[in-house]
Amino acid sequence: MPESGTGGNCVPELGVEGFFVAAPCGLSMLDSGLRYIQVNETLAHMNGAPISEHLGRTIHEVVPTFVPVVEPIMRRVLSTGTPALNVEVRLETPGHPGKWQYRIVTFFPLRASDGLSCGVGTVEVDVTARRGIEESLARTVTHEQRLEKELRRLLESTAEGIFGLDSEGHCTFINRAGAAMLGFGPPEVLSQNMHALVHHSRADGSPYPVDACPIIRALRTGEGCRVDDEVLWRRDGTSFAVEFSAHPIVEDEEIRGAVVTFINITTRQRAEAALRTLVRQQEVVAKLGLLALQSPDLDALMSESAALTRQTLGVEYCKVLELLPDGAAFLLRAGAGWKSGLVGHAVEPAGLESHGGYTLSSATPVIVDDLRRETRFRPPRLLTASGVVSGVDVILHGKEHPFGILGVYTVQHRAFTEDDIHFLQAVANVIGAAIEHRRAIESQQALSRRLADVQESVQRAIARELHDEIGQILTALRLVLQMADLQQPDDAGARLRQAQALVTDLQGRVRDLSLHLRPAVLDDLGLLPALVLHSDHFTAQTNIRIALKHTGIEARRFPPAVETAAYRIVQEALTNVARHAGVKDATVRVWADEHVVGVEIADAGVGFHPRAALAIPRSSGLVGMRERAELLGGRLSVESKPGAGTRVIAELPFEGSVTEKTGGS
Amino acid sequence: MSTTIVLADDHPVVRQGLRTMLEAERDFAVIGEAADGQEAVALAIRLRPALVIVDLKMPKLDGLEVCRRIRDQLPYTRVLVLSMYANAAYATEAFRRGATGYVLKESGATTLVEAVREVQAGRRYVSPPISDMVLEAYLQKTKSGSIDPYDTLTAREREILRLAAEGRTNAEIAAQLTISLRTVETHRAHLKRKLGLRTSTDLVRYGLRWGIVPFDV
Repeated sequence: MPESGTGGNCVPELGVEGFFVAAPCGLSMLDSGLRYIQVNETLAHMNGAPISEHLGRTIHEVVPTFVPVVEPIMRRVLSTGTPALNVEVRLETPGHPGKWQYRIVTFFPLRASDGLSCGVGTVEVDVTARRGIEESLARTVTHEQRLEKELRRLLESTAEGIFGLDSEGHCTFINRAGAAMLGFGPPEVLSQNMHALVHHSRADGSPYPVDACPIIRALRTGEGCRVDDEVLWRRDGTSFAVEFSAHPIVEDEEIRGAVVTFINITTRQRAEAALRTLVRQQEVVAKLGLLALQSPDLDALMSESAALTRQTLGVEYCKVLELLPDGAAFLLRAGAGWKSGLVGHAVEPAGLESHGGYTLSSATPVIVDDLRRETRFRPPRLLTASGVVSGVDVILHGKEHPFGILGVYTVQHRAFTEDDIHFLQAVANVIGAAIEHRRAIESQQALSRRLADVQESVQRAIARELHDEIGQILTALRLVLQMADLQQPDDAGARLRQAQALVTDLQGRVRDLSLHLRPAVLDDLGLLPALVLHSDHFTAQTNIRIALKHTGIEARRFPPAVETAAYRIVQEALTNVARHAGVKDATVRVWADEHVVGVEIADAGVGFHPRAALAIPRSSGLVGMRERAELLGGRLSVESKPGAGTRVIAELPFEGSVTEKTGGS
Repeated sequence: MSTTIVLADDHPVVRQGLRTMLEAERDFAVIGEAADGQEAVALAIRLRPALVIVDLKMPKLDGLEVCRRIRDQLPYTRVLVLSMYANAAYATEAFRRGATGYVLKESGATTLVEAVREVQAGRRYVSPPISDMVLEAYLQKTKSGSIDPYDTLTAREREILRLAAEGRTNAEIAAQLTISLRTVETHRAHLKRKLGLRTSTDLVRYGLRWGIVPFDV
């Protein structure tokens, strides 16, 4: 600065210097070559170098990091003579690389006496500290925004519906799940009265007064609530079962609003209802099982089963169909819901003529979705006349043949569930077991009766034989002997020869009688000799030739019960051949392995209808033969058709060692 | 030299009658009588007669067993069986056990005496109406033959064999025949056992071999 410039002032020289030195902001003067002419202590400190290292040096030398920012400004100030005010610059702190320093700098031209710019003056303030506060302030704001965003995301991603209410019950926010459950877009709900919008009616459709609403009560009383037996209404007018909780938002001891969370519990309720149904169905099955055990009355059991099944499944009709012996039709044996007069009388055809017949032939439960559109079988009159739409039939299984069908029907469309069908089958199985049990008892009783009958008829035959035949011969014998005693000695010889002839006759009769009662040869010599003798005897009596073929039974003994059964079955079957077949030849095959003795009696005669023959006890020995086989755990099959001959095959299992006959050794 | 005879029958009257008939012959000597099978064997061992005449039916030991024991223990004593059974089965069994003669109780004295003489001479004797021809016919009938296992199958089993041989599963067979799966399994097990087959492949092979299933199925 020119001496004259300062000397002409009234301010003491020290005073200007003092101002320069004491100023708490940086001050500097630079010549047009941007060389420092003067700097104060504050700026020297800011620049990180003593004053002495500034003077006479360019900014390039002193603060190189400053250059790119300030040089263009300084050049402009020099060339234009216009100051640049309050320019915020950022530079790397000299001596502290990487650390930023912020300054507010005012550049102004220094003018020579001619008025032209001859240098640049700067006033610089370090604002680094303030800048830091601003930045951290900015960062805090961002953090709050992030937190809010995070919260929003949480609300949006939960599956529960959540909405907020102001103190008047108007919606302040709703999450996406909540809006979706209610069938609205979130903006449609905002500021709406939520009770009026989604909670206006009860489950049965009756209006739900606001005053009774637990959410509104929460808003008014400040007491939270949890409810799981109400419904919320969707935009489309449908409703769904809901569990919700409402909790008030309290600020400064004042209720500002409430938050409500809710979930759709329709599925849960359905599962609970299904479980209750299942439990009820099990109770019914258990009850019927007990009834089957306690009551010998089949019809009572079937009626009770039908009634309980109808009630438990909530259907209009339940039927118990019995397959009739000819296999061509079912009888409505028991039922519930049918018009009076049908049970015990109505008949449904079997085969593809009915639901029951189709079920039997397909061997699985058969569901009818809509009887009017049924194509698999022809709907029987019983069903069409009763207005049936949907139904299920299951098989009433028996030990060998199915007994019939258990079915249920509705007059309105219904989709039967798997549980329904299991229940129906369980009831059917209880009935089936009871029928089998009953049949076992009946067949045992029939067997006892038949045994008594057989015993009686055998005794009658023996009595007749003894009286009519043997008794006659003995009478004759006594007469002959009396005559021999009374008459002339010459005649005695002839009388005695007569007596001998009578005795021989008597012996023959006794032998036949004994053979008929029980062939001793079966006990003494076994199955094969007994069969050979019997077939010879049979041929002699009937003129029917028998081809006896056997394998595995020569010189073998089997358990006595098996030998007896095999012998009696052959004997009985041959008797039938002689009586009914009208043939001159028959075949008997006998075979045995380590476990089973089998016999087959076959003829090519007139044949018959086996089912019919087996259904009438005492008509032939078939039932008795089958019983013999089954008593030993074996089986007997009768194959015959009218005009196509007859085959009887029996297989008799045995256990234990088979004794080889020792006689041949 | 007389023919020594032991009689065994549980009826004293019968023994009495037999003794009367036999002792009418001068060269026959009844040297002992037994009332049951055990006594007969013991007496024979003690007396070593040329001949024992036994009733087929006796207490303690029947006539057939007496035959076997005497054959085993007394090689020079012959046995004549008296029987009320005019059939080849008992006669065959008696001869199998060592008897030399088989005479029906209803035969007269002439037959009995003839039988004793024949047996004594070491010749087999059987009284009418049984004959060697009858015995031969009986033997033929008791001889094991072969039975085609297919003949032992029931109609149901044949049906299942046909379906199984076509490669049908049990479930398919059950559905087609409208019987339960368990029943099909039982039938299948039976027919495999009867035919001596082990696997389902065996079944198919059996079906093909015997023409139960045509090749072009």
